[in-house]
Amino acid sequence: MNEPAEGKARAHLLVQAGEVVCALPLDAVRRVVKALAVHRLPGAAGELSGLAEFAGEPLPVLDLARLVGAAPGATPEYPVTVIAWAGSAAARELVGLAADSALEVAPIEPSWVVSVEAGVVAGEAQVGDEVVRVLDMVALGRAEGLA
Amino acid sequence: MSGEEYVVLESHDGLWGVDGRSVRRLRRTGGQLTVELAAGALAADRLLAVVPGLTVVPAPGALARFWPEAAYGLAVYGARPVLVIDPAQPPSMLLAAIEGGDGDDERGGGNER
Repeated sequence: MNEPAEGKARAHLLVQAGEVVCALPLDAVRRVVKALAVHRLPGAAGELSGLAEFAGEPLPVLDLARLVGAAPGATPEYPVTVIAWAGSAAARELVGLAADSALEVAPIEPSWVVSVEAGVVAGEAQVGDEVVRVLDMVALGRAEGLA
Repeated sequence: MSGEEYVVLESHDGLWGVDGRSVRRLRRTGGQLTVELAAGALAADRLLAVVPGLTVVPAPGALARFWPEAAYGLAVYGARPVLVIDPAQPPSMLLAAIEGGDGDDERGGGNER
């Protein structure tokens, strides 16, 4: 297992999404809640589950497993929604990520992340016994560019 | 973005917002509501409200990436999300064939309120 060096590691929330574990920078996570009521948008790609409301704000809800190219898990309806900030600090926007469960908070050092350059996945990192897919939250806020 | 008056419609099990200034006419024919804009006519199940001061946030990048239609922004009405359309580029799934007819006007043409 990788051990973080003092001051270099960044806390990440590990989230089960289908058959993979994803890591979201903890400072981009606003809340983890029971699955929001999602209103589907006709014509949307599979990654976009629909629109929802959280604390009076509208937001798109994305299927996290599909977003990272993972096979769906055993749970047909994702029971939790991770409310997170996507995009750059200057132009951040709220998104919901439909997932199976929030697992734990773990430190990840940038040097552990092996770049895979696949859309919103910044790379993969070994955390404990698990290889996790680290999300690029800035890329997630872009209107274009999904690989 | 706030302070404008928006027409909130229900269609395809969702809520849609239209800037009230872009609505030329509302007409009900049978069970269908037709909303006439300069760029086309929208078919809706019903008119929910005309809301002054609806707070509209710009369409998120994640929406633009995964939904092929143009959107002006998002809002909330009655604890439900509202997709605010770009009246110059209405979503294709909302477009209705305009049939001549004797529908009941809910809003007349021009600036009549």
